[in-house]
Amino acid sequence: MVRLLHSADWQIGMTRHFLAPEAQSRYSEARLEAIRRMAVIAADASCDAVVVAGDIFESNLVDRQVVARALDALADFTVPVLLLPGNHDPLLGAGSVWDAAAFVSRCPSRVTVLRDATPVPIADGAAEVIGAAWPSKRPLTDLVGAVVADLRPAGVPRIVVGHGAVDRGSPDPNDPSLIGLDIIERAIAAGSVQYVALGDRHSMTDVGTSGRVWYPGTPLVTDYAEDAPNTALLVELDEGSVTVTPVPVGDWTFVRSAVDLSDDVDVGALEAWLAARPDKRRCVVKLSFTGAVSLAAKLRLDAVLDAYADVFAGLEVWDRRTDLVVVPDDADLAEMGATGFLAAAVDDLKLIAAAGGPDGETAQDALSLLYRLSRSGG
Amino acid sequence: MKILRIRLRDFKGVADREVTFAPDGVTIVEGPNEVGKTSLGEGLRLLLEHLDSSSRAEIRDAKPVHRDAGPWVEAEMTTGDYHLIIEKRWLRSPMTHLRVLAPRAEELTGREAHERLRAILDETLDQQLFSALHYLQGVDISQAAVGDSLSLATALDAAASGQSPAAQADAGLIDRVRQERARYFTPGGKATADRSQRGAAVDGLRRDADAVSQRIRELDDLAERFRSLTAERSRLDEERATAERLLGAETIAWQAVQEARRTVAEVTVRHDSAIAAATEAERRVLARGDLRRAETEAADRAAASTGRVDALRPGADAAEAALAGAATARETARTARIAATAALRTARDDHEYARRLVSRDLWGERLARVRTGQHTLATTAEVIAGNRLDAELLATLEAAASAVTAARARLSAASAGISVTALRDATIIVGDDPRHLDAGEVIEARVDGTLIVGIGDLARVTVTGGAPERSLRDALNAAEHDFESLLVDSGLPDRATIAECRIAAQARRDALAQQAEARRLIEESLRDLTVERLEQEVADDEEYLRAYVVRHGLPEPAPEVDAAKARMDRAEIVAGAAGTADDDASRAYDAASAHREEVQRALTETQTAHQVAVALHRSATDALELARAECDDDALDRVTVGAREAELAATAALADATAALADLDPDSVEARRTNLEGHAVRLTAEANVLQQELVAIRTELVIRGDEGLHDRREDLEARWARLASEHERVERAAATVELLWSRLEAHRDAAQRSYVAPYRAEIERLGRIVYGPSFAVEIHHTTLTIASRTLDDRTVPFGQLSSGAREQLCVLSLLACAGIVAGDGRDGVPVIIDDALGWSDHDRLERLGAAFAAAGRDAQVIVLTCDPARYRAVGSATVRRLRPELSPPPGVDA
Repeated sequence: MVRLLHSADWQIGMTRHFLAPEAQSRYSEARLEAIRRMAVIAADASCDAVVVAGDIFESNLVDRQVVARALDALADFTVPVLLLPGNHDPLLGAGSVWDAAAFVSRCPSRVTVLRDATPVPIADGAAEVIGAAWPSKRPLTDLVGAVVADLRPAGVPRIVVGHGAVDRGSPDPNDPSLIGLDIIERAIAAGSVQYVALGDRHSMTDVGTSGRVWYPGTPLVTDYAEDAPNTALLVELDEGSVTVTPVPVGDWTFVRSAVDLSDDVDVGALEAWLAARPDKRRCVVKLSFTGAVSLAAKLRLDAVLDAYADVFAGLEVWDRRTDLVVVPDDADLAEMGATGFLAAAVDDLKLIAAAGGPDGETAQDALSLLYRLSRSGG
Repeated sequence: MKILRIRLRDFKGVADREVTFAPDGVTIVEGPNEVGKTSLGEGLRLLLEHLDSSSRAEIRDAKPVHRDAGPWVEAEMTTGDYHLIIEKRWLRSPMTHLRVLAPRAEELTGREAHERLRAILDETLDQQLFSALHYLQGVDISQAAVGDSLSLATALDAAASGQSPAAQADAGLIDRVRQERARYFTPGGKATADRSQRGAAVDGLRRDADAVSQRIRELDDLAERFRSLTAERSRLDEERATAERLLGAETIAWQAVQEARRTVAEVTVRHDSAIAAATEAERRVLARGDLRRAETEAADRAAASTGRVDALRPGADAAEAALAGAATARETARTARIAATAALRTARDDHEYARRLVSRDLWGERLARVRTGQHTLATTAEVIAGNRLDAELLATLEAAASAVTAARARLSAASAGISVTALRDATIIVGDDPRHLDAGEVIEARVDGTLIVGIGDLARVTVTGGAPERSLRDALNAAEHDFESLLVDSGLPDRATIAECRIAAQARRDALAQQAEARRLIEESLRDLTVERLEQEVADDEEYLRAYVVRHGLPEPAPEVDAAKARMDRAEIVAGAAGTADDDASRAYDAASAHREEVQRALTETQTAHQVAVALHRSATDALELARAECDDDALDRVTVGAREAELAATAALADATAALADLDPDSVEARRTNLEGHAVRLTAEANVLQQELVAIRTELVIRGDEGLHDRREDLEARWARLASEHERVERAAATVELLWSRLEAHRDAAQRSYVAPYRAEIERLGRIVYGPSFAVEIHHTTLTIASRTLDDRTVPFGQLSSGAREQLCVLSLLACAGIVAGDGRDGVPVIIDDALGWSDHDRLERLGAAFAAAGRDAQVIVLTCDPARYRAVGSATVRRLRPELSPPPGVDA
């Protein structure tokens, strides 16, 4: 039996602009921690090799320090590690991270870069790995298809490592670099390939029907839209069978929530929901609001968001998806004690707010501000 | 608020004093100085504002001087719906006690009581206005700061709009909005430096991030270029390998062509040699024929030329003889001509000599005449210069001489005469003239004035004329003097006689005539010439004559002009004929010479041609003999036939070799091979260029790939995103507060303008009571202060009014405020006026009293005064008279 740890899309060097510097620093560190965790898992599971299917680095142009820290994490592995250049870190021929002095000079001996389709034996020749590395950022062919098309059964389990989207269900069917699933499945059916370790998709995905084509997902979440990120796959190839087991490696969460608000009670419910989030230091929340609230409720909402912004790793309000109308109610007006010209000014602002648009939003903000100032004076 | 009662105990100089106030209308508290009137207002203020634990300076000041007691104040009042009694003591045994009587009873003490009181006041009283409506004596005359009073604003708002006032808004709200705005805007309304800098920083980060992104894109493009160039180089390598393979195959064919070409070249060389040999043989045959013909023709030409030379020779001899005859004739003619020419020259010289002789005499004669004239001119000029006696002067002299003659005649006639007759020989001296007289000789003399006659040594007789005689003598003397003067003037001796004068006059006339004649002579002789020219002509002629004599000797006799001329003419005819003959002889000689030259030349040419022909013939004969010696004519014919046969054989061999080469299609083989070679060279060059570019790109990629561009871009993007978000938030907040402020300001301004009207109306209502119907004021709409007062159409700015008028207007504005705030049954704010109107005259005070009364209908007005007369005119006032406390103050009781 051959045992692999399949990972991809490490995206080392990635930054998230919505994170404050402190959080970004922890986030980057968490990525390296996930890699170190995989080293432990691979050792514990007696894996024959670790394959990483592309996008190990966020870019070919990452800083030397980033490369150095990645190599330091790779040094933790006690089994062979096979790295495939992906669309973020293609081989290029020159100028890639793989040829950079910072990488070449300190690359651990167990680490191999799959530069071409030459089979790499693992487990003392009990299996072999063939990579379909990205030669450039915009390949014009199905790189994996090109590798598997002419393969004949090898007599030992053969693992093909590729990177990119598969053609089934792709949003851009005209992309010439899409991986043709049919070719892969024919090769699997013909016994030429026993497992296809893919990368690119950050959500863990079993592709097709063979159970032998997988995306492991990113080891550390990178976006709100990812399903089952933070994982690697433990792959066991036995005669005629394959077992794929997801293992958790990342510990950050990105949560997105649309909240409808109509009164102070809703604001209270939101506050309770935020309070209930676990591990807030490693959690990034993105909220969008709809509905209409009073000045008092808006004031409380702002206070809640302000308070939790300092608690979570990140707390964003999704402006594009937010349509929250602030309407002063009688209680707001009574509390402001608006009489005379003050009342006239409030009426003016209400009128502008009701008209909507950017001016309307400004007028809503102005009402909220007046409300806040009238309270702060009391 | 209505103040119903105030009690002070141990407050400054007041031991214990209680004053009650009418809840409506005017309460006048009268009393002398130091009785504690001002302390009432002061005590009320301390009571409402300060905790009993306070020990601030104004509270310490309230402590009585001579008693060890804490100041104590109690007041009863209504405010809003509340009716309450509040008492406080400070410093000693501090205490606060609040009793709320209505709307529901409450009783509190200590701090709780104070805070409850503050809460009630906050709820019910415009404390700002309350402070503003407290007019204190002794401070500068200034208008109350009522502009920011919300109560007044509310009341004025209601008065302006007719609505009843709503709940009171927070008066500090405007300030807080203003402060909020100041966070984003400068006082001038511009964005704060913080905002501007942030905006600039956002833009700067954006630019930086874009620049790095651009570099990354360039690097991506460069990598892509590297990749495509690598593929291109692989393609080139394959193409070059193919080209080299094809070139190898083509080279074999090309080598076969080269071999065939070499064969053709060799055969061609042999063919060319055979042709050359045959051609040479033919050439020699032809040359032999030519030699033979040349020898025959040369022999013919030599014979012919001999005949021509013989034919020409007699003519040449004849021409030579003719030329000798012509030469002799020409020599004779020339000698004759020379002689004739010499004779002519002599004849001409003679003729010229004769002519010059005549000419010299003529010129000499004219010159002599000129010189004579010139001499005459010189001599006559001398005469004329010394003789000025012209006709006119002569006439004058004639007249003067006549006058002398006449005078003398008259004298003679009148003078005595003596007659001396010698009686013997004696010497008689008459005058100075001794005369010897013979005896009997008589001498007569005229007595001319005085005449002395000496008669020897016998006697000297002096005869003296009479008086008439002296007169005539004087006349004679005068006439003689005149005459002598004229003589002198005329340049004549003073003893000259008139006859001499006439001769002199004639001499002058003669000299003048000679002068004229001389001039005419000179003119006539010179004609158009000058003297110098005449002299030159003469000299020329003389020179010629001298030269002639030198040449020919002096001719004797001298030749005649006409004869010389005739001889000269004859000599010219002879010389002309000799010249003609000479010319003819010369021409004849030239013709003979030309003819001889012609004949001689023809002869020479013919002789030369003959010599050439003979030489050519000899040469042709030699050449023919030499050629035959080398190869005789028969042998030559045999060689020629052999060469022609060899040529035919070589031509056939060449045709075979050429056909073999053509079969190999050499041009096509050459073209293909050349193309393949060029292709290989081009591919190699392209590969080299590609390789160079690949190396350059690889270097660039390696260098720039090591710059950490990704992290720099990510860092810049993250910083930009954060700062841009912050910037957007701040700008949104700024826009928000700006909108809020603009709306508030606009409405406040509008409101202030609208409620200025009722305020002004109230001041004018009260003012007209005091100043009459023409009274009017202008109110500043933001501060609600009086800007100017108009009385009898005369408007005066507030600041320029008299102290009294300003104080009156201040009091009136307070009353108006209080009246407006308390209008329509609202809970008003009391006006406290402490000892005002000290500058007002009696009449004004009378009228002010009515105004107070009118204002007091709606508001509580408390007037504190030491001068009861000032407010005596306030008809409906409640008066409280305070008297100095007579008894010692009571002790402090608990």
